[in-house]
Amino acid sequence: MYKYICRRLLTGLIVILGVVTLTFLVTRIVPSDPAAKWVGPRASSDQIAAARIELRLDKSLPVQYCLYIKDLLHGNLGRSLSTHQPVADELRSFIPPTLELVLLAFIFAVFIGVPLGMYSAKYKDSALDNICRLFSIGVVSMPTFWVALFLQLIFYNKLGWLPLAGEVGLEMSVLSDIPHITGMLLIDSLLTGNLELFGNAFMHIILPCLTVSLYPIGLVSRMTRSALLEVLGEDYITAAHSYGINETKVLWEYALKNTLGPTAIVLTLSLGYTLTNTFLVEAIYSWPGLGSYVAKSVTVLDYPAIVGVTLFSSICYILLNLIADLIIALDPRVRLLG
Amino acid sequence: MKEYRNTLKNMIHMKGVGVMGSRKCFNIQSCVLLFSVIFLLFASTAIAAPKIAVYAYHSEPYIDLDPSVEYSNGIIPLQNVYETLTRYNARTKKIEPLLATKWVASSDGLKWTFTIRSGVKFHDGTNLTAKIVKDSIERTMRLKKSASYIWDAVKAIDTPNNTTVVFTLKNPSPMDLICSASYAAFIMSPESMKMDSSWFNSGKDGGSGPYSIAKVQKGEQIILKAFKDYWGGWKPDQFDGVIIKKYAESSARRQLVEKGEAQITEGLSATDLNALSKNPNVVVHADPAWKNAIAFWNTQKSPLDNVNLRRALCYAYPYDEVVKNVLDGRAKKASGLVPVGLWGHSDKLGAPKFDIAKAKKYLALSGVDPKKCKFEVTFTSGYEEYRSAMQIYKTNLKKLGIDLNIHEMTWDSEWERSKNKNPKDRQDLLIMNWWPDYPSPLSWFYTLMHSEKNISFNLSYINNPKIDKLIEEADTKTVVNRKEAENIFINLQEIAIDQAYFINMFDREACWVVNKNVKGFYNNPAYETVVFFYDLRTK
Repeated sequence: MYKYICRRLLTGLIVILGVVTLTFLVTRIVPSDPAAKWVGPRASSDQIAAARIELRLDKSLPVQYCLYIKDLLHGNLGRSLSTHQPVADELRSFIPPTLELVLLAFIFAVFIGVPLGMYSAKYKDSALDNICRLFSIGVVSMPTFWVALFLQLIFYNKLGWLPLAGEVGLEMSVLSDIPHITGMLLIDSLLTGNLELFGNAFMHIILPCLTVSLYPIGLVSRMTRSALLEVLGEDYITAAHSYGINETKVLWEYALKNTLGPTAIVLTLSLGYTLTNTFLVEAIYSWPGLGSYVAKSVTVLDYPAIVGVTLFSSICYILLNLIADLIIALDPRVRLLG
Repeated sequence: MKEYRNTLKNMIHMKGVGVMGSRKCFNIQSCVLLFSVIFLLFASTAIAAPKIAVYAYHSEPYIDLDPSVEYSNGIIPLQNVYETLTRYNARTKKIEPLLATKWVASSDGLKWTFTIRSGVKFHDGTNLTAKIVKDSIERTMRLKKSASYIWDAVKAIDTPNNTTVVFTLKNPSPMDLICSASYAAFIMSPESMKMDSSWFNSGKDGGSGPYSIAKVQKGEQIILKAFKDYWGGWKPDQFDGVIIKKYAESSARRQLVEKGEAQITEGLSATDLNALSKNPNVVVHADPAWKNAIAFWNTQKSPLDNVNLRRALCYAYPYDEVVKNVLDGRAKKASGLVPVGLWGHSDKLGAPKFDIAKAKKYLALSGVDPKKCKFEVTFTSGYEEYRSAMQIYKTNLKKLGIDLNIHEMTWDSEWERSKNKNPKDRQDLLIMNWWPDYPSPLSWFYTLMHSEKNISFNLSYINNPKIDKLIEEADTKTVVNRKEAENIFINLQEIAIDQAYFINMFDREACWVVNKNVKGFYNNPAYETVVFFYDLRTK
């Protein structure tokens, strides 16, 4: 197992280098003047010439690439062309809110989706099953931005139960010291014992979390139902029933374990996808996360930021793929090869 | 009682940056709290909660908080935290005193003497002097960032005494207008001048304005608090604090103003604006902005070097239809290069209207075969109105037998393309917005029409010594005889229309939505998207 993990990580490093190189080259080929972007929309030619030297654009492409890799090895991802701030610092501030949102959404997804799928399988073809299936297909099909706007309209505008947008209330942000330990506000407020802030932040995360979780809820529910139906038809389940074992025990202890593998893999991979594709949700809820950072960087062709985000995505996918494979390996029927 | 206690606690903490829970503060706090509770028991007047204005903005409220560097949205907070020597008043259309109380130019316009206001304190307690003014401007000139070019005419800055600043210029320039610029004209404290952007971006400031920076959240929001020692003084119905926060979605900003959670917003979609105009709790302000959309013909590329062809193409553009149907009436038809509301604008320039018959007439006069005319237009992605306008234009051009390809791209890609050495590699038509850095129409002429050694923004590639001479004359006359300068600018616009260098697509409007309880708001086109919160009053 240890050798397997090391081999996979080494392969991952090569993949990361390839992705970074490719992204670096693509951002240089796209017609754009990074120096003009650095200085601003109404730059004079002197300002642009000075910026070209400052950004090392006067050097040849291979030299630029080598300097970039050298900086990367020291943890320096360069400076954003639009904000002039270190990309590493920006990622450090934008990643945690997205991570917090997505992880919470996926926890929701598991705790709602799995039971939903299980009872849908248990009561196959009943009214409950039909409602669950309709719900699963519905939430997977609905566009995320529409769901977000709809939830805002109902819960903020009509009912007034939940806040519209933002990570924390305006009054709270003025009057309270917002801690910044992990960058995840729920965790930071608990670590500092600020329960008022925790409550406020929790109320603000409900709607965006619900929006992000709907797709994985539908996915998990469908996957669990399909896998469980297959397992429930196995001989050992019939044997368990004939031994008089309690139905609930059969479902939760004997059947569910064998369905979790494929579901966990799909969930892990969709987590990676969601981490960098929350830009619509973040734009609508004014959530200060990676999604809006990515969207802005791509729109303005801020290539140091684009390469930085690509690097982060690559690392995420490699690690999540590894986790997915290790989950499969927990099944004693599977042996890791290669 | 609990509410008042919390409110008072909050008011105390508004003075600093959220200091909570230290023992020393706790003892002082307890005494103040106790006294206040006793006072409340016997006083008949309630203590008011701090008044906070929320400005829901569509993008990040700043890029860089260094006043010598910022050339973007950051003027929204910076124009409240820092001050300039003068400020343009859009209501009176005059330059007004701010940190300077009066100024006088020599008869040749080469020497300007400003008298600096006494009794002005920076937020760190330093008193304003003439030397600080000199050092601030020289810092901006030295850094060569932002709109530092506005100081290019300055040869020397002298300070004969504590309250006098003398600018000696290389050529006559309107220093009263330049000192009121929205960018690059801020005066800052001596300590802050030694710092770099990272110091400013950490939430510190060196301003003298009515508000100081309380908190920043990069890319999301900035919180300002009232500077109690501001030289202008305070009235009870002014805002104690300001939050400028990013809400990217128009529907979110609309809902916030409807619910009263935000007091001011702008940049809403036409649907949201129309809905809010019926809301009795808000007031919709639609005022001219000094920003217009201009399409530049590549006059160095055949057959666009043919002036009659360009005239034909200008007559085929759907001016009224774009304003009415694409922009829903939230713009004005442009009459020339200078937008409505700025001196130099004229409604009597004889600008072309949509007229297919005239378009056909000029096309015939040009002798160009329309079948050989396949043009390409580029504009910056995200501008939906340009796409819609060009689609209507494309339909009109088809009536002349001319084809138009529409391409969106990022601004710097578009600009990069327009700077190609070979005119054939450039686009045929380029669309961009233009607005001035200070209240003068010169920017449109000097930057967009004056010949250039290296291509910058003269993207019709005009190279006409007669035009250059007129522009330089207008620049000089702006100082010594503004009325004559205005006549020259009008003449230049007539030449531009006659030669059909551009399509003056439309003059933009600034549409604001303001809560009805906020008084004193007006749009100042010299400071785009800026709200001067000190001028506002609330119930």
